[in-house]
Amino acid sequence: MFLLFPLPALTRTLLTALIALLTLVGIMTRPFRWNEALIALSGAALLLLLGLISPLAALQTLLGDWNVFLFFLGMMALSAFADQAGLFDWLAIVAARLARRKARLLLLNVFLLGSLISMVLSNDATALILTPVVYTLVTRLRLPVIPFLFACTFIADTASFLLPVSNPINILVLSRFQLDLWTFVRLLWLPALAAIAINIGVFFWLYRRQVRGSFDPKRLPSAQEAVKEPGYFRYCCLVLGAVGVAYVVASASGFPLSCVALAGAALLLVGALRWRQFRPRALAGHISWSLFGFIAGMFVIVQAVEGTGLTRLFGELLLHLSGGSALGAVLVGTLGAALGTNLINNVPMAVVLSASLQALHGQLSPTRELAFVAATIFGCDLGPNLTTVGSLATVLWLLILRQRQLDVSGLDYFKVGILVTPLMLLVGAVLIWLLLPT
Amino acid sequence: MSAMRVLCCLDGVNAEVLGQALARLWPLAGDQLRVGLLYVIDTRPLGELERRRERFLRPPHLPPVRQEQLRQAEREAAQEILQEGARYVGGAELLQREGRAEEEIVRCAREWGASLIMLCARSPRNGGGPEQGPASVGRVARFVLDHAGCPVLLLRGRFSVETTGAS
Repeated sequence: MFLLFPLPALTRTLLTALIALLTLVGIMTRPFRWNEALIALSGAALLLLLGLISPLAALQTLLGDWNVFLFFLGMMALSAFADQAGLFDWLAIVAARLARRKARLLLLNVFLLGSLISMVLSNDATALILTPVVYTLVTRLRLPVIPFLFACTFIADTASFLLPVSNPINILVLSRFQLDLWTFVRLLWLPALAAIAINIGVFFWLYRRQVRGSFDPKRLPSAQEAVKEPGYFRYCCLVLGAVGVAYVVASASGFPLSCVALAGAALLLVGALRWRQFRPRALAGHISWSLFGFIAGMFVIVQAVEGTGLTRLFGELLLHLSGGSALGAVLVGTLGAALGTNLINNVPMAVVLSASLQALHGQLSPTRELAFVAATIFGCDLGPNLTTVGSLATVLWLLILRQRQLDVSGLDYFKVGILVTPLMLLVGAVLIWLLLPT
Repeated sequence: MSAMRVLCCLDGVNAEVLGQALARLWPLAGDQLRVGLLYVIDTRPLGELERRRERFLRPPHLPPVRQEQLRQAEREAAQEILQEGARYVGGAELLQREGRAEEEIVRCAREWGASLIMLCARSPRNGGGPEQGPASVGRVARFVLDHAGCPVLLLRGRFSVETTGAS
């Protein structure tokens, strides 16, 4: 409505900043347990209503990010079809059989399986689908649940920067920066491997007393039991293998990854129909529809903030804090992203940081820009491991519960997170710096 | 003389130790001894899963099929643990609860009318820990000591986790 009554630039800036800030605080605190998508969309709607961003600009922003939206959809659909085929259960049983009755070897196999699934099907699949599968398996084996449960949730994020498709956050950041596959792998593979090794090492040390001894393999269900329809299962493995290869080829050639994910999902849909395994309700249950609203709302808000020049100021602040060096850029980028993901959520943090860095395009040397981009991906992917739900507000709430003598596993998670995550962040950041082109 | 009702808390690896402790009590209480074996399915890990789902902007509850699989595995493991306990303590009443172990033990003791709660100071499944000092008492045992309305007997000692589900 202010479009009809032109406002001074300062007033527009202040209003936009206020709405953006309130939205972020809302996402952080989630008053009345409101959904994050509702909060983000409300902020965007308010900006549109007040004329602080034009409907055309908002629409252009959303249409311009089609690859991100469609990738999210394709990625979730792929995981859902793979789950319906029984792939996750089958893999978990195979991992247990390969453990040769040893509990510690099973923990290692869970880490390796989680890394593989995160790499190809994204961290989402590991955290949301593999975790309950492993939970059920170790309960049957009568092994302590918590170490295996935490192993799945940690490795989901720790292994989520092996490939651009390993975390939707990577796609979000890369939608603004053209980073070819070789550069991505060259900068982030070694830090990822180091982080995975640290993660595994710390877990083995932390849970050395709980995870030991052997388990009875007779308690394991047969691998065939996990597969509902062998024909569809084989077809699913074939399609996912092809999708994995196509991801690499598409990343290397700059082809939109969303097209690969959607094509793979479409092929799996055809297979599900052919073998009568298509269950629309189960499939819909796997798709987080509110995620689209959340991202759309955040995109519009950040676009409005960009229009005021505030993201540029934030970018300049990061640049100033970095001290103009590549090492400073990596450290500031990593730390800022990791803290930000725990204050709000990694999706808005990645959007804000990418917009701020994009505003500095041309002002940064290629090496420093690369340092900031790699650090943003690294920090936003790994940062959520620090707290249980990627929110310090939740941790504070858990601490209050603790004071009231209510024991909460969220605090256990935080204790592990605070021990392992800073170490992984530090080692990874230094490795990124060492791998930067001179 | 009223019956002595002893509530023994199983954690999946301590049935033998509880059985040995009860064997020492038996000559003192004789026919007046009534034993209840309790196993609590811990719901906290499930809460952790739900929090994780919320971080990924999903509804907290697991899909029904997964939820059922998980619950069934938990129930089967609980039944197995109780049956194992019953092998060491003949004629015991088998009690199964779900929730936070420490709270459920205190609640069950009250409802069942326990005159003594017997549990291990710290389960090796939750990290073992030292045999003496403050850290030798785990959080479940600590909570039960603080909140139980009847005497609590803490058992110490090392147990082999090699036997956990091993053939």
